[in-house]
Amino acid sequence: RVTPLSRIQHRGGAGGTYLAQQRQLNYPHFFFSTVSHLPQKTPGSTRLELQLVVTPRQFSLAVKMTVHAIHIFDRKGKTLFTKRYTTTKQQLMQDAEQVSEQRKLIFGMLFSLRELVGSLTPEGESPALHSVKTGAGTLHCYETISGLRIALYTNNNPVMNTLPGGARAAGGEINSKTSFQTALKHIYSEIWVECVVRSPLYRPEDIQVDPPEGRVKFPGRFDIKCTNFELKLDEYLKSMPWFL
Amino acid sequence: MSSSSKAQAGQALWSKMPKANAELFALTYGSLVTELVRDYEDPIEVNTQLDRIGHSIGVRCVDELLSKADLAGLGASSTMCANLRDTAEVVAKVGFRMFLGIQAEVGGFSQDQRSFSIYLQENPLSTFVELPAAGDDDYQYGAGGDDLRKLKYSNLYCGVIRGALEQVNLKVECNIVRDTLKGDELNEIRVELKEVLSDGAGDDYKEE
Repeated sequence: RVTPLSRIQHRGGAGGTYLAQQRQLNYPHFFFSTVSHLPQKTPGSTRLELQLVVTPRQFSLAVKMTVHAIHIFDRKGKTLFTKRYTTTKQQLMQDAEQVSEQRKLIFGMLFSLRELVGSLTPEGESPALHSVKTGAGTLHCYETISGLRIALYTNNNPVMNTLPGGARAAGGEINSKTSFQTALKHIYSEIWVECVVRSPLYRPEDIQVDPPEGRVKFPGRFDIKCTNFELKLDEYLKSMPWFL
Repeated sequence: MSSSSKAQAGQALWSKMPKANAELFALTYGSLVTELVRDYEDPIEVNTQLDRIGHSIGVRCVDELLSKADLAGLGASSTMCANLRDTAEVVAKVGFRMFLGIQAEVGGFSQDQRSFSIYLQENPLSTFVELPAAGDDDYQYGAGGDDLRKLKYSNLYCGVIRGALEQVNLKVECNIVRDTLKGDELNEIRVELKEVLSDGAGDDYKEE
């Protein structure tokens, strides 16, 4: 049975018919489908309806985190902050080498993509890389003019956890309030600037990245851990409906 | 981006920023400069130190400005300044307004568009300040009376502009050209673009 969770109606003729997926209601991934030529309530008019259709998903027993990790890079490529949100133990015990390799790779990719996007953008528009989508996940990016890059690695289908006022929140297209770009922007302006930049201990040249096991912490360097940043970040991310 | 909307943006941001007492601000700065003069004795050295202090202030201020720009309606797409003129306007109309609450004007663009001037009618740092006249301070340090005339009291601004623009890849040099403390009718800061830096992976990228 098709269960429409929201309907947006448009007047106006529509050609052909797209088949609505008729499956059983299951949890919780959404899929857009256009349906036209539905039973008409008023004679002589065709309605184009956009319906939300729920596609079947196997219900998996493992809890699927939407957000896997967050990285913050500065302009020179140095990782300022990185955090993994994961439940599997294995990933936590990743080799130090691997971790730093990974970070370098991510930065390199963002850097090259930015150059590419810059050369592809038509004149007059501002180039900005929003996200990179792969089969396994999506990397959302936000870059400030001062060169700070925030990258958020998530699942491909963000789980909308809260469905209050059902119709709106479940409306296929992610609400601008909860979109990733807005979230990243918010992380930058409200959390990063407030907690890190404004901290009296902040020194942009001398930021201590989390030391891998065994390496001695350099005294005198500014550690992001001594600010509220991580706490506020976690708080903020947890309040987002797509964060599990 | 029109100049008036930048002015409005500056005004809007100014109203949102937490404020400090202007006298406290001016007097704190004054005592800082006094201490510096006492420590270094050479006004040129003091100027350098003020510039350095301003630089670290600028580095932090630019992030604040960029992050608040969205709220003020500058928007992500239009914060990219197309040329130096736009940058100058943003610095003067939005930046100075937002952090200091003063109206600053831009002008004096050079032929090759690589330098400009910022004019400040009022300088909040120099309330209550007077530079001693020549001949007044012949202490045992042997500082000639003329020396303190070489002191650029508001050199902090130069550092702030330099630091802030460095974060957006513009290497500039700033100088205070006219100073109300020295008898001119307004303050003028001359900003010259030295070069546009390019993004690149720095040393740390390879070191990690």
